[in-house]
Amino acid sequence: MDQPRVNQSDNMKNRPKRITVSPITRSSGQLSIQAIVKQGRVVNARVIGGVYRGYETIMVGRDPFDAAYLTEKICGICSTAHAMVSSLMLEQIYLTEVPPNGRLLRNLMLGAEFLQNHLRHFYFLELPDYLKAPPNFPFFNPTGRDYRFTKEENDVLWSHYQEAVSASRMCHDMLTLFGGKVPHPHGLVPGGSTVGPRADTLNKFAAKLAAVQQFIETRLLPDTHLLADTYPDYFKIGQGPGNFLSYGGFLNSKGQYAIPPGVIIQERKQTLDIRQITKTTKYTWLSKQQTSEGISQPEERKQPEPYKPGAYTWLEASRYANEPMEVGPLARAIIRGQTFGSSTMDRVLARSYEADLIGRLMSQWLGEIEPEKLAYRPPDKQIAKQAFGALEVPRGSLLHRIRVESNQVAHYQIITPSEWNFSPRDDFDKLGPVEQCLIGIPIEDPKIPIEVGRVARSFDPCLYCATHIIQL
Amino acid sequence: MLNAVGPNLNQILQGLIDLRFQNTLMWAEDNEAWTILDRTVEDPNGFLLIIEGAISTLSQGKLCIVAVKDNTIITGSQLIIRIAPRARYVMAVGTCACFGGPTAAKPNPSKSVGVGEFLQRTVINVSGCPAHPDWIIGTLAHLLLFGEPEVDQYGRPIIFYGETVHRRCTRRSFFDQRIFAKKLGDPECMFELGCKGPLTHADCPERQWNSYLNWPVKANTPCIGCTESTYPDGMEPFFKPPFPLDD
Ligand code: SF4
Repeated sequence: MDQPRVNQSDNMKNRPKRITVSPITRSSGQLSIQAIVKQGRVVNARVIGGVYRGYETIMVGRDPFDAAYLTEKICGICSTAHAMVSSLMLEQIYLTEVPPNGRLLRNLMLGAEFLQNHLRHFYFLELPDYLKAPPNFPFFNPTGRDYRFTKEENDVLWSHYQEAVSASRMCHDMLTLFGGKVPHPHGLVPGGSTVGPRADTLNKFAAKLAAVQQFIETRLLPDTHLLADTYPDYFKIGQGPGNFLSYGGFLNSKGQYAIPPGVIIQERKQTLDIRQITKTTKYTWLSKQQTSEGISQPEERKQPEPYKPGAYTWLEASRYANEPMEVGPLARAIIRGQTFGSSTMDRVLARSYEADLIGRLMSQWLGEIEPEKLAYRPPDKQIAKQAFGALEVPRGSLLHRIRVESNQVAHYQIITPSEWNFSPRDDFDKLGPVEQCLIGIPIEDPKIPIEVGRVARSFDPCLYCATHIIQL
Repeated sequence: MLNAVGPNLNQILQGLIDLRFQNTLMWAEDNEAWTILDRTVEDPNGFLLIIEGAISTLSQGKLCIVAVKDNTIITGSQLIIRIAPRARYVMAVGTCACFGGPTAAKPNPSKSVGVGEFLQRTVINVSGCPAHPDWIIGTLAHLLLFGEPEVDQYGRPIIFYGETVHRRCTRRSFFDQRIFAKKLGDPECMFELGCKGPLTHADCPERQWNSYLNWPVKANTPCIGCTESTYPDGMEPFFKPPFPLDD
C-alpha cells in the first residue's frame, strides 16, 4: 500500500496523544474525561465520575418516611426530583390516596424545578462554551477557542445571561410557594402537597410562571436557535448510541403520563420493562454482592473499593437489555415522536423546547386545580414491603427502590440519570453513552480541547460531589 | 448563590467579591481552571476559601476526585490540605462542610468529616441544608467589612444562628397552648409531627426562604433541624417529636 510521505512534524501530529480534560467545570459535581486523540480525532474515551457517598447504604435502618427529605440531599440542583420519586415509591408501600389537587401541585413543583434546571443549564453551564464575556470579568474570561458570534450577538447573549439569573430564581420562588424552600423542599411529600391551593398563592404562582414563560419565548428559544444556527457542525458532533429511555414524566390526576414512557433501541420502539435494567461494576471502584432477588432488580450490598484494578470511575454502568441508554430531554422528545438526531446540538435544542412545553403544561395544570380543595391526604397502613418509583426528572430517568422490614428501611437503591449518560464501560466492555459520543469528535487543538466539554455538557452532567471548592 | 436576592448574583460578582474559582459557575475549564486556582493560592494579597460539602477521608479521599492531572488523581482532601493553610479565612458552607451532615450520616460509608474537624483549625461555619444565601453572603460581607463575626460554640455567626427556630416561630402561641397539628398540612404547631424547631438554631421564621416567601413550618411541615451539628442522625425520625413533653 502506498504510504504518503510525511515529514517529522506531521509524524508527531499523527501519533496518538492522551488528553485529560479535568476538571470539567460548569457541571454539578466532579467530572473528568480522558481521551486518546489521533489525527485530530478522539479514538478512545473514558468518563471519570469523581464521587461516591453511599446514600443507599446510609438509608438502611432509617424510618421509611425520612426518605423523601433525606434522599433530596443527594443533589442541590434536582432535590425536588428525589422527593417526588421517593414519594411515589412510598405511596405504594403505604395505602395512600393522593387528592387530584395534590398531584397537580406536585407537578407544578417538579415543573418549576425543570424550568429552573433547563434555564440555568443553558445560560450558566452550556452557553459559556460558545460565548465571550466582556473583558472586565476575569471569572468569565477563559482563553477559549472557536468563538463565532458577532459582537452584537455576543452583547445580546451576555445580557440574557444576566437576565437568566432572575428568571431562573423566579422558578425557585414558584417552587417555594408550595415547597417551603428550595433546594430541598418540604412541601412535596407522600400524600400530596402540604400547602393547599389558596387563591392568593395560586395567583402569585401564575404571575411568576407567566414571567418565566415570557423569558422562555423571548430569550431562551431565540437564543437556542441562534446557537444552533451559528454552530451547525455540532449537529454532527457528539452522536450518541441511538438508544433512548424514558420512565414517563408528570402523572395527571388519572394516573396518566404527560410525557410518555418508552424505550428505543436502534430505532426500534419497545415497551418499557423495568426488569431489563441492570448495573455492572467491572470498571467501577465498587465491589458488590447480590443479597436477594429484589423487586425489579436483584438487591446488592456495595462496598467502595478505591484500589480495584482496571476501574476508573465511581459510577456504575447502568444498562437496559444490556444496552447503554441515553436519557434526558432529547430521549424524551424522540420517544414522544419528535424528529431529532442524537448530536450535541440536538440535545441543546430538545432541552429548550422541553422547557417551553413544560411551561405550557404547567399553565394547564394550574387551570385544573380546584381552589380551596384538599391537596394532601396522609399515608395510611402498610400494604407492601417492596416498591419502586420511576419518573422522568430534569436530567433524565430517576429510579428509587425500597424494601421495608419492621418499619425500617431494609434496602434502598437509587439509579440517577447521570448513571445512565455518564456510565463507564460495562462488563462486556461496551462504552457508556457519553464515551460513545466522544469517539470520532474532532479536536482542533489538543491543548484547548473545548470540543470535549461541549459534548459532555450537552448531557447536563450531575455527579454531585461532597467536596467542592470555591475561591475568592 | 444563584438564589441570592439582594445583592443578587450579578451584583455579588461585580462588587462584593473577586471570585476566582468556583466549579459550577466559572467559565474556564481543565488546565486553565487549575492554573487559576494555583495562582490564587499563591496570591500575596491572600484569599478566602469557601468549602461546600464534607471531606471524605476514606483512602486519602479518593471517594471525591476533584481533578486528574498528569494521570494522577487529586482528591478533595489532598487539595484542601494544600490550600487551606494559606487561606486568610476558611468558611464552611452547608451542614456537610460544617459538621459532616448527611454525607457523614450513619454508617458514614465515605468516612466524611466537617472541614473544621478535618483541618483542626478554626473555620467559620455557615450551616444549613442548604445554607440560606443571606447567611452565606451576610457572613462574607461581615468578614470583608468588619472582620470576623461573633460565633457560637459551633463556629456559627450569632447574627444568623443566635436563637432557636422555636423561639421566633409564628406558631409559638399554638405550642404554648399545646394545640398541635394532627397531620402535615395543618395550620397548628408541628411539634407532635416531629418539629425540631426547639433544638435548631436559625432565623428561618423571620427571614424566610427564596425571595423571603416561605419556610418549612409555614409550608405546614416540621423543621428537621438542618443547621445543627447532630443533623441528620440526631434529628431522625424527622416526623417524630424530638422529646416527650412533660405536661
Ligand atoms: S412549629 Fe416547631 S418551631 Fe414552631 S412552635 Fe411548634 S415546635 Fe416550635
